[in-house]
Amino acid sequence: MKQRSTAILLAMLPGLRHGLESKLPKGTDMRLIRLALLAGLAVLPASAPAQNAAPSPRSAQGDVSVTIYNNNLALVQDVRQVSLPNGRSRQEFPDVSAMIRAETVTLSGEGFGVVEQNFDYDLLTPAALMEKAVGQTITLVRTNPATGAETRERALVMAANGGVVLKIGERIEVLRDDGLPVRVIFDAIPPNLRARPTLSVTMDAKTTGPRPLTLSYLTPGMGWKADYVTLFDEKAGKIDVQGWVTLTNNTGTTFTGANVLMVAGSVGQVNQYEGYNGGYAPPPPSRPRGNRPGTESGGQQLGDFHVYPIAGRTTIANAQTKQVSFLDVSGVPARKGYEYSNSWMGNQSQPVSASSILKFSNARSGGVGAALPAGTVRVYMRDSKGQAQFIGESGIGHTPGGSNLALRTGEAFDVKVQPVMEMREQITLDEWEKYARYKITYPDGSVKEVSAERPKTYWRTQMRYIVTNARDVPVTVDVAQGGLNQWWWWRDLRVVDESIPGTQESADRRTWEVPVPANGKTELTVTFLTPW
Amino acid sequence: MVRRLLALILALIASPALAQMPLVVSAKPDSVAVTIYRDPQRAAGNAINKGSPGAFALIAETRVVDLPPGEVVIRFEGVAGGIVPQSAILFGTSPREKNRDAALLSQKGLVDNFTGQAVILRRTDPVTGAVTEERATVRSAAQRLVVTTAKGSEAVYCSGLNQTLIYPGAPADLSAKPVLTMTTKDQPGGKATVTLAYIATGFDWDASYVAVLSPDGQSMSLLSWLTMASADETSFVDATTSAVAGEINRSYETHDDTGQRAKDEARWLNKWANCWPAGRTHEIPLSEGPMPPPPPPPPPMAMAMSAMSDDIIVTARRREEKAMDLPIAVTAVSEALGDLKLYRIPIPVTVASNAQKQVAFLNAPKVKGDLVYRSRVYGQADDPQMLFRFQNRKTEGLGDPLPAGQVVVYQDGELGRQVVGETSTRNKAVGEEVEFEFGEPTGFTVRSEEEARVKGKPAAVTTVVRNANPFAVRFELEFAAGDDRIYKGLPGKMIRKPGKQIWAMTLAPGSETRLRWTVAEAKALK
Repeated sequence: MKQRSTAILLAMLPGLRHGLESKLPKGTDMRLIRLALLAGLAVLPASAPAQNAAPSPRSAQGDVSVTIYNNNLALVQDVRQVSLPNGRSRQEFPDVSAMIRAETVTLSGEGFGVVEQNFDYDLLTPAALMEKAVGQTITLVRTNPATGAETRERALVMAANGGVVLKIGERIEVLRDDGLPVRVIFDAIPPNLRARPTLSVTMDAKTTGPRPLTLSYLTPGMGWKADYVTLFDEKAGKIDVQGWVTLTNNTGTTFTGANVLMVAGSVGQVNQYEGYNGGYAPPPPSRPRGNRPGTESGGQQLGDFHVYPIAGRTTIANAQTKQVSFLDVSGVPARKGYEYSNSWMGNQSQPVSASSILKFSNARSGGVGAALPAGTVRVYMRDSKGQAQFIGESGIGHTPGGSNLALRTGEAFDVKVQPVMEMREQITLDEWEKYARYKITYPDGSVKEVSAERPKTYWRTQMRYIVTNARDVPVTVDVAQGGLNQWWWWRDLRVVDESIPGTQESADRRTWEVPVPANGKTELTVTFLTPW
Repeated sequence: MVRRLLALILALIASPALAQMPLVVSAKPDSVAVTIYRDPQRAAGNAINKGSPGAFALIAETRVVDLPPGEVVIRFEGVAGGIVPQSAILFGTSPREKNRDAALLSQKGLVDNFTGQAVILRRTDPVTGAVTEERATVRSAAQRLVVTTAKGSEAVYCSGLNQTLIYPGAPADLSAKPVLTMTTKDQPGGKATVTLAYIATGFDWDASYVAVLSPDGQSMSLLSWLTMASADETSFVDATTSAVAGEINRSYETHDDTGQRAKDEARWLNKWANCWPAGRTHEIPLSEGPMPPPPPPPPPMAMAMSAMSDDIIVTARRREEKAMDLPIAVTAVSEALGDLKLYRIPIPVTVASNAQKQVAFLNAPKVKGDLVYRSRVYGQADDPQMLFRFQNRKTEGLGDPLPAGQVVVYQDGELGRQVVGETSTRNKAVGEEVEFEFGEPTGFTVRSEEEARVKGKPAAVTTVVRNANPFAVRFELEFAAGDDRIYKGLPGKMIRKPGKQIWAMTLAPGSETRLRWTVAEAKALK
């Protein structure tokens, strides 16, 4: 049908052109009209099937569904109407993803069996064309550089290794060795040389006629993540959160009018480890205090994964980044915190900024109320003129509902901590440890028990943390001391004195919540006893 | 009749896949606000990389669009070249979706888009100039172009002839630059004001301080500039401009995707790489095909600077002295933005493409402090450094946040103003002690020598401090608290400061002092 309409149009063209030429005033640029006609040629046959299933002018795709995973992987299901002849036939499937993993292709439908599937990537290049022409005859068109006169001759291609060796009549010549222009015209293009990698399936049909075929395959080159816009109102202690699904398509193919589903998760790809690839990312800074995964379910789920469908059909163009809203809540309670983490025996000659931490929950009550797929949270705040200004961002992993989130947005200009090691000395405690015990049985049968003891020695480390606040509101800074379990076989940490009660969060880390008045200063002093 | 036919055909060409919805083009913003951030990775003493500034800007554009009712695609043009599309926010509308298309119109894009379709192959005779055209079908991708004509198939680039392809139209889904569009939900139509805010890479700013010490060293004047740099291709005319001080967290997962890959890919087209096997390079004459032009050189700095508006004082480092004598007409105003500081330029200015701009933000005529000569002690005393120490407080004449940046220190003397040194400062809050350590003195020396060891006694160090200046000098020895050694023998008291202890004295003009101390390793005290 398609072919026929093109042919008719082609047949009509010369007549149409003649008619135009005779009616047009002199001086009209015929090239323009020819171009326009040509354009019509290019578009018309392609736009014809628009009435059929194929929604795009040029695409051979049918009804497409795309499921996109986070880890650069997508499942494409493409239902195409294909008319099969009875018996064996070879069908090509153009407009599949240019990055298709051909080994994952499955084809399903009624009344046929698959004989073989082929993925041909022998691409049409000038060099390949010449190599396949070895032993065949081609046409050379030489142009005389002085007169512009053209001469044609036939030549046999003998070899295409270094330089193309031609046999012209009884002469042997290397193509274009003299640097003069020569057109090489090939009679035909070998059938297996293609413009693009092409998927073809040979099948054996029991009946003739059109039928839907479902082509499904996996392709890399598509992925998605979430982008969150968080507007923080510090005075009200509230945030407005907008969530956007950001999907990218670098497959080299446009998927037109597709049903799109995003799956929040990286599907397992076992045995994919291929060693170090040099992609060495710096270790992310430790997560701020106050992150706790939640246990609330909700939203659309597919097994273990949350899924985010895009309503309606959408076109994912090649090289496109598409964003679709999936979350819009306002007035979620949020508060700001400060955190400073000191390394063991860390000592600063100047005050160092504490981190600003934004804390909120995604629980249904008093929170965002939805699971948050992995992505980037960008935080904005309104300035004195009401304009939203960016104040920092943080990445989050897949966050189940009911979690508490604490995100580092930046370093506070006005809230600083200066840790100072005031003193470190070795002391001997008035405490003895037993280091040997043995029993002696004498020949006469009497028994004597002996034990030996020695006093314990410790290092006393006296730390002072000077926390300053140049803001006009009081703040609370979480000051953490890390490095307390450096020697896991030797855990004997004692905190003999602290000016503010601390919390031993783990063997390694102790935290103090230090209140600092507006435009003020609080000093925290802590004395540690350690065997090292 | 003919015209209508042409129009019909042209309309068919122009109709893109998206054209089921009406397309509204917003050519440029009606007003724009630019907020520039400082590169959090750049140390205080490092200058901005003007060629490719490492930080970013938040650009908020207000655009008025006239919408037909229903679902509409709005295309935003005239955005920054470094736009990070994932960061785009829209205020005043809630779109159904936002798209950034990076399929670019280039020679490669054209050929790839016309693969399998009809084009015109044009050949020009180099001698007579005669042009021949024939219809051809593109059979392969751009970097290995093969076409089929009525005569047969041929490789266009490999012939050495002057030939080119002529296309019937530019595909509507290819664009000159990455394009940001949004699709609205069903809406009633009419005039709508949309605010588009996004992050764009290729910006940075720094605080540039000019400190002039008074002849007696007891005070300084401090003038500070916001030095802003843009390497973006877009100029923002009459923009509400501000800068944010403080360290911003960027996420490791975020890769600021500005479509650079698409631009590079579109540019990279090696036409001859796939030509048939060639024994020698001259067989594929490079001179006959157009080589891709080299990228245009960046505009010279002086030219870029002239693009700035007149009422802003633009100054390079060499002219700072002169600039300081000028009255400052415009000063950026600071305010707190959460835990950051926002500096707003009170008048609209133009943030020009590939340019640097400076606006004053602080002008303190007299900041009281001390000129100090200091040696740090690690066993022996180091060479002394000159520094100006002040408390960042209102009572001392300052009391403003000092964002990180570079400092040039001058001093006025009998021979006029002279540079005495350069230094840098970290972010300093109000109430902090600030030291501008700017250089080594020449008229003031500290010589340390360890005495011959006596067994059983701690090591002893003799230090001679000499002041050859015609003025008195405050001299300090600084002992770090982390130092495990115990120093004894210095007369008088130590001043305790966080993390250090200081011993201080004043040397009269032309005087010399001999100091002696002993050094012992800190040992377990039994």
